[in-house]
Amino acid sequence: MNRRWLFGFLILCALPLQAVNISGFVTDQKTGETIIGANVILQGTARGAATDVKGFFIIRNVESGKVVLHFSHIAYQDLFKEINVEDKNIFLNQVALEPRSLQTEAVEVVGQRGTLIQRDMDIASFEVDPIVLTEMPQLSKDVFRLLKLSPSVTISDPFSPLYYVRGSDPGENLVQLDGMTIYNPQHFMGSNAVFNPYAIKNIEMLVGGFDAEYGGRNSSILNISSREGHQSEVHGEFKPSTSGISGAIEFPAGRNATAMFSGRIISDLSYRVLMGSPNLMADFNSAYQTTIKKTRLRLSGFYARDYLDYSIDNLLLFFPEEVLEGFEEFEEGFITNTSNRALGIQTSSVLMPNLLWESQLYYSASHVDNQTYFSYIIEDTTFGTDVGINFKTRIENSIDDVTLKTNLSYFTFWNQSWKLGLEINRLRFKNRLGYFDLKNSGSTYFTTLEAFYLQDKIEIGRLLVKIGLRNSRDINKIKWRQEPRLSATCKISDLTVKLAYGHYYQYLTTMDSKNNEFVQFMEYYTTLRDYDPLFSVQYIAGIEGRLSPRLNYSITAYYKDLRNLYRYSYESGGLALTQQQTIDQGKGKSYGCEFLMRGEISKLSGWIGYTYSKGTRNYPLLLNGKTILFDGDQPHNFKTVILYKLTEDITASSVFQFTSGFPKTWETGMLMHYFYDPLENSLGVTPTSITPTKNNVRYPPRLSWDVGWKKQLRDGFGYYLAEYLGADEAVFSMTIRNPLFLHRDPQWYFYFPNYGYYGFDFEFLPSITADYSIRF
Amino acid sequence: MKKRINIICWLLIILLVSIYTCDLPTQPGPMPKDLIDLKFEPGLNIFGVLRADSIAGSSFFHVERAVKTKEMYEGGDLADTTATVKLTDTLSNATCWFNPATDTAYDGYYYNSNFMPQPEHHYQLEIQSAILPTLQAETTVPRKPVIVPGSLDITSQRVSFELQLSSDTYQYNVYLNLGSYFIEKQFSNNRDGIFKIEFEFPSGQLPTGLTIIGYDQNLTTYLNSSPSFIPQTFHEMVTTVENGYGCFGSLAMTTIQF
Repeated sequence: MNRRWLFGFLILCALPLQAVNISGFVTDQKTGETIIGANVILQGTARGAATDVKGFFIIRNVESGKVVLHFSHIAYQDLFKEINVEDKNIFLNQVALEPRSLQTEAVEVVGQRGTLIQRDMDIASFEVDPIVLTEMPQLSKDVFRLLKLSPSVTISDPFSPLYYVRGSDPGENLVQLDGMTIYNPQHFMGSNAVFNPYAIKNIEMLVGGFDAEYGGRNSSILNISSREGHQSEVHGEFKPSTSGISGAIEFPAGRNATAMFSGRIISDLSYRVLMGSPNLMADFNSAYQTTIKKTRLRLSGFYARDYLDYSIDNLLLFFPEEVLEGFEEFEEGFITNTSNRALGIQTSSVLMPNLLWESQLYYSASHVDNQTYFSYIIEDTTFGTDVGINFKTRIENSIDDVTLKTNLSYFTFWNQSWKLGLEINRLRFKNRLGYFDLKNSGSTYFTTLEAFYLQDKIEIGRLLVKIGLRNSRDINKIKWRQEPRLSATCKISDLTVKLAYGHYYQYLTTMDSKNNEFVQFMEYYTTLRDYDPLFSVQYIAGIEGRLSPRLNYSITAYYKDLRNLYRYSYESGGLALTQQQTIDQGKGKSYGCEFLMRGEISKLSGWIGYTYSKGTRNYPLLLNGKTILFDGDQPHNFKTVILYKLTEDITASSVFQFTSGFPKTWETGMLMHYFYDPLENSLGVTPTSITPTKNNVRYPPRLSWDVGWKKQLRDGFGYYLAEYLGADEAVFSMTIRNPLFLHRDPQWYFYFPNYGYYGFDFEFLPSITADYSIRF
Repeated sequence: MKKRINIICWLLIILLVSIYTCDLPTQPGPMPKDLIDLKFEPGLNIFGVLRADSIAGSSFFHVERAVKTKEMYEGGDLADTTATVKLTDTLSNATCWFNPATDTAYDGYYYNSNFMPQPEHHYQLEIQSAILPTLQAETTVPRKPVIVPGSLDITSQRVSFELQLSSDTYQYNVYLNLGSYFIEKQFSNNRDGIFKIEFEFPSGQLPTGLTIIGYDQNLTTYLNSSPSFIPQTFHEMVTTVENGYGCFGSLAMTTIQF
């Protein structure tokens, strides 16, 4: 009986009734790019929608007759469109809005999208207008530096691009460019993201509570959308420097088609000439988009490359020979060779005004080959035991991914929409550790991941509920895993209450090498084909409200029960003869509370965030399963980002951070580690520390304050040069790091006889950098 | 405008005063104030290797102490010359003692000039010290590496052969002697079987011989572990002994002259 009722209810939900749906895409009149977060309101009512990340909107249950749709966005002129609604759904293929120049108000650093109508964002997301990347020179136009200013994000190391989100490990973050997974989205040198900021249209980070559509990672999803091109003119940006060139161009590419190409090539001359170290950092991004009737087709391509061969030998040429007196065979250096590539095709078809079909097929790959070496010998002619060190690491890691994704979105009546989707990933992993020189050492694994999901979204008055179920598996394990996802938001007066609950599985893991590489720059992936997947259960609760029309606040609490985790370390991987010996299975917990206030007051804009959080881990083979502090545990995290529009041409900015110190391992004693030459039958020694306990002390708090200055040039050499080159704009920017010597971030403490331990901080001194770029 | 600048200046001053009055280190200097005096576990730290290389007396032990950080940096003498080193062959029940080196230049070294370990024999080690816990360890000497008869092939730029693998040998190091230098190949192992090895070298060089060394599991583990010199970094102690630190292992060596 119950099944009949349920079946009937589902059929009823699926049947279109008298009410009509109006859907369509909203675009920029000049460039043709879709607009995210544009409000579409049924005039005379409080009903409407906001455009999603593809610029698509749908308004349901519109009564027959003449209606007026009001399109608005802070950066565009308002548009009123009269439509005669009859008895069938209406699709508006392209609603073009005319751009307008912004007043001298604060920069729109926090997406004003959806301020009138709550945009359907996932329960916990951090969304920032990419304009922040260009307005704040302190960020060096880097996406990861921007994200690390979110209250949900903790850095793992100031020199490393890897980050923790709400107490999860870096390997649990997913980064996607136009829907394609990018496995190592950072450059080795400078730790910058591989994404050219000019090519970025939208940045959205989901830090928890994500829909059933998203899977394969437990912690966060970073979605980067690239620009689509310009439909009527050639536009771009060009930034020369002494070390390289960066630029982007977008242009019409035929009827109903646009294209964008961006690239950066950097090679440090001082390294090449003075150090004799060849080096290269490059990334290229391209997109081609066309519309064929009701289908949008997009081709995306991406390639990034890093190469650096550094050796101290060339540096020592500048020092007298006495510097290394006593040292024999002194060697120090590293060689890194990485590449990232992705190529994909995406389609988005409006089959009916309330039925959207999306699909994507892509190939993505990452290859990393990192070698680090440090060795010397101090000959001991007295006691016959040389002192030295022979430290070498070599990590080769490749991952290749071919993925097919497809989903159907059906917008029914009763403000309900379904999404049914499928995802298949074919993955290949290749790993080799240590410095064995046999060609066939290392391991190669293949696996296929499958997932299908159903997501239901229901809006009932002020209540929005999303119920989803994702089923996933690694094909080698046969067993399907269920990932229920539930979230709800409820508007009570000016407050919005949010709740979320979800199960998350992840079928691969990454190696922790930061204790062996000084700084871990890359993720080294390995399959969990022969293991149960990573698994966590997450709870989120929060409220959002307004302090003023343009000032919002949010308070969010989260709890993560990390029921299955893995620890994969360099030591175990290097020593192991089979993969089964490398991975330690454990568990953990993390919880916290985040406060965020963001918006604008007159000419000031930005955000202030504070987070209290804790995280722990247990691994049976690590200290006999004792509970230890998680590596990224920082109980207190305070961050502010403030921009001040001094004039129409000048923006000043400030970034201030005060965070707890990291938990570190303090050594209890020391001993000599032996190295042995079997041919000579002789011994050497290296002093090394004894560390019986992990993360047993907390470093002092970390503090930093940087200011920036950006000016659009109206006269002077820079302006006239841009004019001569035919550019529309010339911009000068300057960053002052640590202007008041406030920076505190001790990296390590070294022992000095008769003194004790002394801490070292590499960024203690202030620095100034300047930048010049032109746009056309 | 002037009023706004004044307000901003006052805010900055208040902020700076607040920061400086907080309990923050004013320079990245002294170690964390709340550092606990962590418990140090004293013990012997040894390196012992039994060499089945057909040379009596080539096996040795080096015995010293693990110490507190201060003692290491302030130049303490780590060698322990008072320990007693006892080795027992579990197959024959024979016991032998290693004695401290008479030459003070080799403080901490222990030798037995008559001792020659036997492949496939299992040895138990016990080192007693006056003030430190008694250290214990054991090893099984691997079989001597064997080249498959008739597989050795030498040309003007290449030497190749087939090696008979043994499951009690966890790592092989193979050295081709070219007179003034060696070319080395190294690989891990966990099985019996045959394995082909090839060396290529520049023309004009004359290879004079091969040295093949097979390590037991203890030496393989220890010699591939990396000491950490990165401060305040957790690394698991790689040790193959009980009640102490370091390594006791064995190797078998085969040398072939061309």
